[in-house]
Amino acid sequence: MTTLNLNELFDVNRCQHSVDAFALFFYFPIGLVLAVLRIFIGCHAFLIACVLSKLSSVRFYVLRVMCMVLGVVVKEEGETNRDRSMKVIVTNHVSTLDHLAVDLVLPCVLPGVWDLPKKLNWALGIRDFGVKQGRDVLIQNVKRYLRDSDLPVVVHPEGATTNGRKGLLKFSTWPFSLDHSVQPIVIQVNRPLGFKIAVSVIGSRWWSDLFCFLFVPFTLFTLRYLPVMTKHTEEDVEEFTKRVQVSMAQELGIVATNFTCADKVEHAKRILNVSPYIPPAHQNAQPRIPSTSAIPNITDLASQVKEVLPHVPLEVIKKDLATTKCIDTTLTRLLEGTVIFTPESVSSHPPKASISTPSTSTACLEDKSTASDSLFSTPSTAAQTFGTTAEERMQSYQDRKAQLIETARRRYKEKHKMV
Amino acid sequence: MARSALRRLMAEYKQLTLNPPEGIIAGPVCEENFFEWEALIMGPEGTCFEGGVFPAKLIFPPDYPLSPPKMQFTCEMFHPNIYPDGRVCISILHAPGEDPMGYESSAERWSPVQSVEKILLSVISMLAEPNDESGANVDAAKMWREDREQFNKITDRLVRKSLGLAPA
Repeated sequence: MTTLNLNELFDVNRCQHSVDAFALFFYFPIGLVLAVLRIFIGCHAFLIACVLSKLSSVRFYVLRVMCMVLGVVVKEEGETNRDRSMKVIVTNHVSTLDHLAVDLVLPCVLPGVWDLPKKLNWALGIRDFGVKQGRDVLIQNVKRYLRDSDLPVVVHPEGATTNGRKGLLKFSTWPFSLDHSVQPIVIQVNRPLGFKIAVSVIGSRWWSDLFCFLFVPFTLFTLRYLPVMTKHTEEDVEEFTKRVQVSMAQELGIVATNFTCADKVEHAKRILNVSPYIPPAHQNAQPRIPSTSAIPNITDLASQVKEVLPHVPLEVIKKDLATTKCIDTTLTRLLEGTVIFTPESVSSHPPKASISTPSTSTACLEDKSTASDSLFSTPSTAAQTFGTTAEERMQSYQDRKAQLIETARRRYKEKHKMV
Repeated sequence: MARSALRRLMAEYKQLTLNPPEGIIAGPVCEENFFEWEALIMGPEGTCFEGGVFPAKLIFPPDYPLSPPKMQFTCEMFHPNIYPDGRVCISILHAPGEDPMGYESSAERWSPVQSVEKILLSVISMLAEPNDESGANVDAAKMWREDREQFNKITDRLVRKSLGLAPA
């Protein structure tokens, strides 16, 4: 269980301190000119990147110099741990340019896990491996690609960016089922003193991130190679994933959390919905955290949560609401067991009502089910996201239903040797 | 009251969608009515129900989670703790006050601590280990005790039927 709060993983504002904001005010005209110039240079660099082959050494030097001009400086550490034969590179995710930084020193492709237009994918060095047709197809396609190609794939198993200072998001397991060994790389991004602009903030768009890269004098990417990690035979994909996550977190001196990128999306939604409460005058100077006066009364919210979960002590609810400031998030956290509490008895029942603990048989079933939701061992019925509209949710529900029946049918046939 | 029930059901729906236990799918049949859910339960491995996918419906009361939902299988079932009409008889579905069979310990009763997920997990463990003292289906209980082979034959037919496969 992690003690870290979800909101510590992300930056909300580009500028953390008002001093920085003040310095930037004077730098702004210079930065703007620099950014405009760099846009033109960037076009050239892009053309060169398109013309030259990925593996040629000319491209390697030309691009590295050009990126330096563009303000993207890449430094490598721990080269002794680098193994060029590795086909799968996993890195943490701190900015939109992570894969380009890796690509500069170690030519690679990024499997597209977003649904982007084809041309944009190609331009960004992303390759579509049929992610829309589901995970199985994606994995098969990537595996086939790795067999035929010399270029490795780089994957950000976190699935979303963090500020890289507090913790890693939970890794998704699919990149670890591609090959027996992976080359982990940890990425740290630094900007010179006085230009400590956050590389990516919650809810930011790629073009605003890119503008920041072009605007500041330079951004230093430090890539540190970790020793190649190999999956033990007795280990399942899940455990291997966790092991890589923990060792990368240790290398960075941060925590390996269990938050997923879906949690980040929820968190972003909440923050962006809360922000209108803040008086606009403060927006530039202060981190966007609502002051206590701006949010609805915690006691009111707590009583609403209490109605839904009558067995949770009121103090626990209030305490959690103070951090989340959102009924639905608190409900989720309480139901998921992120927040630990001792249930209290519910008064509306007859006096003999004792709050039960689940029977032992149920408990061990639960343990089993949480331990394994890996890709291959069991038919996982989990959805990637919880749709925002009723139609989306219904569609996902119907799809998962059909999938479960299909899997069960196939298994039954296999087991009973039916054709 | 109904509003908090709705909110709780929504939270549980989300939880079950993103992080369901193995072999379980559950959700409202139609979001216009959040108080009627459908669930698919996969028969646990190593039991006579192994591999089957059994549909059931869950009806929630307006004062959920203070009162438990009702659960009924919508496919043909043959099990000591399932009534011939598909209703499920397990202790977690009964509030501590009521005790139709008069044998349940109050430790495993419904309370707001429980959830749809826990109900479905209990049903899975019930499928794995029938309680032959409860006579929801007397014939099934008797056969379970005395003629296990015949019982397994029947459940295998049910498994195939639930998967839409022709009987062996």
